Amino acid sequence: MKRPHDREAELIARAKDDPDSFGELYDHYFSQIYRYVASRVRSQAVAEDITSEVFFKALRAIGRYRPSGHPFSAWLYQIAVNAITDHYRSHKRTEDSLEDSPELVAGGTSVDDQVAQRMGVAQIWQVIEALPEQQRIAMTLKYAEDLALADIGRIMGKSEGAVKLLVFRGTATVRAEVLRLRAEPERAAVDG
Amino acid sequence: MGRFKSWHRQPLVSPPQGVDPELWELFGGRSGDADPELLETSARLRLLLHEQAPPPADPAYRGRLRANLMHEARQRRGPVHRPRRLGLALGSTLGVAGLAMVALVLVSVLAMPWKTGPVQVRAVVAGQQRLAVTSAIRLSFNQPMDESAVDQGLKISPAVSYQASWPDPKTLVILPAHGLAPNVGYVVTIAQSDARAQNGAQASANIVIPFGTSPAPSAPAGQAPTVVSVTQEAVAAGATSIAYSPSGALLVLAAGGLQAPSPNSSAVASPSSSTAAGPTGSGALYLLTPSPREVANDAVGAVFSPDGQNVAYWAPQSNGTDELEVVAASGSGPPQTLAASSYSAPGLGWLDSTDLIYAAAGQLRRVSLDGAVSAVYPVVQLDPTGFFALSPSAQELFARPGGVPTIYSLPGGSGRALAGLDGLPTWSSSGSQLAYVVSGNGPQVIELSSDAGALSTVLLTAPAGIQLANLSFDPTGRYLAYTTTAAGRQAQLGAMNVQTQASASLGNLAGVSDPIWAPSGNQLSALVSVNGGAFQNVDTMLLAGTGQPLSGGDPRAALALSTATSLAQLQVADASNGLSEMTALLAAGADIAPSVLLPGKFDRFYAVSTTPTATGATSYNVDLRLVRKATSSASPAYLEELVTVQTQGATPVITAIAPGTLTPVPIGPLVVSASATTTAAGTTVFTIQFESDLNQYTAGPQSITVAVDGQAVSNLQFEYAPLTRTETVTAKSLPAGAVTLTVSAPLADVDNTPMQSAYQVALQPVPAATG
Repeated sequence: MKRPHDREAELIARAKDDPDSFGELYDHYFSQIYRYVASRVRSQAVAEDITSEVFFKALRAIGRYRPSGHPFSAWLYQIAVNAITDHYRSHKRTEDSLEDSPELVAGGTSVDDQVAQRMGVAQIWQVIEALPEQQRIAMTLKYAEDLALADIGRIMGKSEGAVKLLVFRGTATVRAEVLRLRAEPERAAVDG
Repeated sequence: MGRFKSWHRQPLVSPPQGVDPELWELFGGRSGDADPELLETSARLRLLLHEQAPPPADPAYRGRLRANLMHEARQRRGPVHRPRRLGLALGSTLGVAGLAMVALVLVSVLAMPWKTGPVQVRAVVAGQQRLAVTSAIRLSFNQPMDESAVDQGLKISPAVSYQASWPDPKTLVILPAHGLAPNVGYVVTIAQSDARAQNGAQASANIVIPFGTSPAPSAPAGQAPTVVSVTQEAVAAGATSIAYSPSGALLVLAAGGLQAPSPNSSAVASPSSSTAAGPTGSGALYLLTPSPREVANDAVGAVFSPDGQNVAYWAPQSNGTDELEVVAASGSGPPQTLAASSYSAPGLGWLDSTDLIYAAAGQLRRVSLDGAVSAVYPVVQLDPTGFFALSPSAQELFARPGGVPTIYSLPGGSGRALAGLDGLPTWSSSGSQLAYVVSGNGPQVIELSSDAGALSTVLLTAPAGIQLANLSFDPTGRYLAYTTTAAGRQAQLGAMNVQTQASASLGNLAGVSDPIWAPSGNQLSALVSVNGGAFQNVDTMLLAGTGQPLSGGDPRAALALSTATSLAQLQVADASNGLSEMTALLAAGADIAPSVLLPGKFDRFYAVSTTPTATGATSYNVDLRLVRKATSSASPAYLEELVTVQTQGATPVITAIAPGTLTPVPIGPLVVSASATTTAAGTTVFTIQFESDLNQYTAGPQSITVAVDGQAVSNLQFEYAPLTRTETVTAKSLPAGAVTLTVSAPLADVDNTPMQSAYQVALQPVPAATG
């Protein structure tokens, strides 16, 4: 019996020449890539456009794809990350503002929980979106997609150590921003 | 990791439930030297971002994307077998089926008589699979529309930047700002609620218009022809038309006889209305080659037989009828009268080298050289003048029944109307392509129709006030000549590459008309007015640059990107032959970001790798890096794109270009990572990877040093790999001790920006992996 990894490798090899095999890859990874893109742009139309771009680029480049020990999805994520970056660069983040995103009230009772409740997920995302680009990409791939640091490195063209640093710094920045936002109402209460 | 606060006094062996092991380890969970706040933030972030999953994709979108992908995937594999007609698309592939079915729905809508009611739309592009990438998308509604609502609801997927304009309230023209991508399935949609007419009527459903763009040419795309030299072969008084025989003999129809050529015709001003007597004027027929001689003394509408042996024409008679005469092109023997028509100079064409068709008494008739006459093609309806034009392949016929420009497929096909057609259409010699000028409320355009009308493409849009006319295909169907006129301006003769839509002026020529290509394809003749239109020269232009690939370019030579045109061109610097321009557009065969096509987009570009596609192959993959500086951001950075061009043989033909993505990188050399390995032979190899490209000549002992216990190591060898931006430093043997690697200025990047701050790292060489 073939392991799933072997089967995927065969599928990728066939997809270079066989449209149906590429279709199978598409079926397998569409939801994953779409979810990632949609979580980054928050507009269905833009998410669809970018997801389309990702798979068309993958189709055109799959002939040159070489297995590198990383999962195939890392390659797709890499294309998606670049496409999203291009999108934001050309649209200056106006149309996909996160401010209108529905807030999610998180459970739990910790201080961070309370802050998170006040801030809402949208604001957390805004903090993430304000991070330097490389930190933002690394944070999203790690926290939202649960990718391994090594795979993120493959996606971003960086060493695993560099990705660790990006995630560490990004998390620290988010933490500091949470603390700052938490302190503001308290200061207001004292001053008032 | 002293910066981490102490958290777990005793290290845990595994992360708590729900905590990502890598993050747990990153924040010190395993070592016990953890930052509890960061760990908690980390866990909270992960939880929040997981809980806020976006809604799933629209299943219709997912299916549509899959169909488009499959469509493209099938086009990309091996020889492309495309349906010749739209109807066959249904039988081709499942991937195409969705596209074709929607197209058929649209076609059926198109065939229905429109009446006031729900909003309906027709679009020539609907269902097309080979739309030119430079095409505009024109939507025609059945009633005046709420333009702002439609604009708001308009969406093109995949996204392209475009300009939308409304020539009138029922017509929307979408012009992609940088063209469409080749070989891509697009869908134009207008939400039902936004497809709203001025009277409030709505479409009955979302408007969906799918189409696909043509694959980029795999051969050199070529440019428009350019003029090498011009000769004035003859001057004729009242010349109205010229024609080439298959052997290259030039025939001119002139009312006032031949005279010596008049030089400098193009410099003579002439009113545009002075071009002789019009296409139906009569005159003497002259063969100009090998030496000028008269072949008929009073003729209209002369046409060569396909074998070039005979010339047929109408001879006006004193009783008001026209007689159809045929004369041997050699001049041997008198003209032969084959038939008569009460029309004045009606349509006339050769079905083959022995049979003609002509119009008489409201019908088309066939006559053979032996005089046998029969009525043919009853489906064709003629206008009161009996005019028609026959395609070179005799498979299509143009007429104007009821004044409506119509193309008939012979022998019995029903006609298809060409709304807005202005003047006469022209076919390529194979008959597979039809070009014509369309006049609407907006500027005139030249449209190209192929596959019996199933596919239509806008080849050229004239600026406002410019009139297009006199279309003529070259013998290969690759080039199209045309004339432009404008009030107060001298007429121009232009020519374009049909495949790329690259067009160029061949000169300002007074009253230029009737351009026609020599059978060789490298000469174009036209009538040009002389002396205010009293005479016409036959100007013949020898053309060059007709898209033949240049040879001699070495794909391994340096590559440069020209921004001289709106479409960037690759140039190949050939060490032995100097600079030879590559005729292929960068867009050829390209899945390439439109940004690349913008002039001035990049500050520099260079090849970073050239490798044969296979051992001993003459085809190469050339990785080009295109870079520009981003000056707007707070921290300067390079924006760069890696493009892979595949060349073929000694001829620098672009056969493939891999996609590139604009990525920011810092300015000045910045070390990403450094490592050291030691081989079994005792050689130590330091591998230093940089974020941006180096000026490799600045990498050496002056900028990269290795020290052991503080003592500099000499005799280092340096090697730079541009593609991976990796500098390799090799030391034959290192003494035992603490190894320090230092990288500093004057090391500079490829833009000669020096390293901003030195990089120093202590390394412990590890044994190199074996096997």
